[in-house]
Amino acid sequence: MTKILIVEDNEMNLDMLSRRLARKGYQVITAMDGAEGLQMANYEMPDLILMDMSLPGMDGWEATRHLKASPDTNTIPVIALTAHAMVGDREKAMEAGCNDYDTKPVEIDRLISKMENLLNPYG
Amino acid sequence: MLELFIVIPIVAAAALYGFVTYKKEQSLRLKREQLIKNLQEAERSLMQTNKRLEKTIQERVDDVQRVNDRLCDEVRERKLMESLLAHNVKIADEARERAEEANRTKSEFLANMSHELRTPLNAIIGYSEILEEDAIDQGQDSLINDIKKIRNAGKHLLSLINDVLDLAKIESGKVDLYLESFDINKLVKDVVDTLQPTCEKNNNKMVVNCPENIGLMRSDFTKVRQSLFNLLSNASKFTHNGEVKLTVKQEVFKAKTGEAQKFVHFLVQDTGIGMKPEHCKKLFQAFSQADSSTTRKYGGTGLGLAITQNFINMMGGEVAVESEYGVGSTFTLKLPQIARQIISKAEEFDESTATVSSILVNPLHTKTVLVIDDNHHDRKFLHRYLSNEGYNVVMAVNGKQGLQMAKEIVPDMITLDVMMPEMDGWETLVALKNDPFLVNIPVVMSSIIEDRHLAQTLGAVDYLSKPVDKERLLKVVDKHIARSARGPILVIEDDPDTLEITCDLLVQAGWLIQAAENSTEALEIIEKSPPMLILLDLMMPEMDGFEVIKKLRYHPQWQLIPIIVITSVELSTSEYAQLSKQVQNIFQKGKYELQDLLNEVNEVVSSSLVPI
Repeated sequence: MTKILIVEDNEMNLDMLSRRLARKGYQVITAMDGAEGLQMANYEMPDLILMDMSLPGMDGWEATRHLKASPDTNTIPVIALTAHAMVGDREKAMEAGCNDYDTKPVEIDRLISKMENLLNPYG
Repeated sequence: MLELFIVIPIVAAAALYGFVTYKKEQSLRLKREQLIKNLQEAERSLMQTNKRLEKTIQERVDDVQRVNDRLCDEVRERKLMESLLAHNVKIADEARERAEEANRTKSEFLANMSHELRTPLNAIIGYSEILEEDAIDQGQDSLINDIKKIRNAGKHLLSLINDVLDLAKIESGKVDLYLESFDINKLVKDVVDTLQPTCEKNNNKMVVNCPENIGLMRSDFTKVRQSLFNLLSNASKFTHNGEVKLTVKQEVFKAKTGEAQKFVHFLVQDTGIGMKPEHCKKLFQAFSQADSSTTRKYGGTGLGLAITQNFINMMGGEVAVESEYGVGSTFTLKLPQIARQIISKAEEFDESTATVSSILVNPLHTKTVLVIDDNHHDRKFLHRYLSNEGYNVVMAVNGKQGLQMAKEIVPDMITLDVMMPEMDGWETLVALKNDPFLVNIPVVMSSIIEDRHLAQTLGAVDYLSKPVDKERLLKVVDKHIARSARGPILVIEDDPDTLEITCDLLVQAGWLIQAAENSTEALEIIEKSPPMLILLDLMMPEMDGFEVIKKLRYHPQWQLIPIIVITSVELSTSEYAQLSKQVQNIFQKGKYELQDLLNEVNEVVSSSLVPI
């Protein structure tokens, strides 16, 4: 089963997203801040990471940079999720090394199509 | 007969009024009476004159007094005005500060509010979608419609918040352009795919005409996408059972200067409700939909087109509309295929800070890039991009100056514009590559005209097409600087033949070289651009090598520059001991292998790679 790590500090968002992805048949693991997310990524080796950007402590940009700097985790695709949808956020996320970017509130079908694109790039 | 006259002039106020004369031959009494009479007359006349004068003076005094009074009044008035003016200026300053502060507060408030509003909205939309899925799974059809209404209302609210935030950001000048190159076909496919469901909902047919070979454009991807999305989404929304057609084409527009500029046109045509001319006019104003009843029927904020127009203008393009009521509308987006960043005045680069002397005091190990370009704006961009990345940037405005500077400072890399008056880029490139001291410096050509082949043939390491893309520039510079020749090494030697041989040897070994035939020249070079290492001859006219060493060792910034002495002087044991303390190594001319020198140079440089 495809393993997805969601890093998100808002409990409600985390609950919604994990339930909906679980319903779609993904195995979901969660972390609530950047540091925990990094740890989980290294232990669990997920197939894909959904990363909220504004996290307490280590934020999503920094966590992504760490992930992409490590040879163990740099192949795991990361999709940045941000509530701001500010012009420039996409660029900022891409600069940090994210593979794609989506805005919250999450549109589940759009998100899943982005996830699938990264999970099966040739499919 | 001698006659005696007494003549008394009557003079008043510097004017001669007459004479009182006394003649001897008259009888004394008569004469005395006459004299008294005369004197009395003179006195009267004098008094009259005096009175006249006093009157005149009084009049003058009065005049002066009046003028003085008037002046005093004026001074008072002016002082009053000045203090009023100062007061007003102060009020205006305070008002401006308050307004700026308020604007900042407003922007911050909007950003925060947007975040705060989105978080609960996120939950409303998300949970309503979960509920909807549950309802479908459990077959509770009666609930599905109501849940859908909650979700749709949530989504509508979200789009309102997004638009308001976007417009607020545009108004507060917080929107920057992020230019990148992207595939036009991909952009079109992306937008069309996203809008396909909306189109199908209204039973519209979406037709796309986009040449496959239309290629790339350079612009702000997010903004182009959003603008195109707005137009297509409007077309789909206001059309039922009709057609939405997107045509993309390229057009060349000739500017007055004769310069041809390529534009990409996006035509969005629909067979929808259309608009009356009076509605078309105010279409791009914020908060105005063609008809206020539209809002009720079709939803939306009426901000989409205002946002689109702002974005398109920022990218140097324009948006236009043609519409016929009841027949349909055509929106045209014209965008330069290559957008240029417009720099605000405040960011204007100050060229006066870019002189060689002021730049070269940077630490030794900062990499220096020499930018040779006659275009002020291009220089500015390159300077900003490179210095932001921590490079030391030196600029020359033409080929000749560039060549001169290259010789003086031996940069780690050169970016060279092709089209320059007099000595053009190609000529400069050839000159650089023919100079044994400069041949190892990597040169990157930059130009609007692509001629990679010629660049490569003439010895350039890479090519940047203008307008220079920041990312690509940094990538190229990073790549070639890392691989570039090392140094510079300063060779100080008074014998021209020895100087040339030593320099050749080092150049062949991949070092950048500075050469000086005497100590004065050497010190000038060190002042401008401290080398990584100095090879020093001891015997020189005027100031000899010992003195150069002393000067360097007492200088706070130069004392750590490693020195290797190459000398034909037979040094005494004590001289040798003394010198050994001050320099890294001593080579006796004719008594060393060239390879040993090169090895030593490598060793000294690598062991001294600590920030000075």
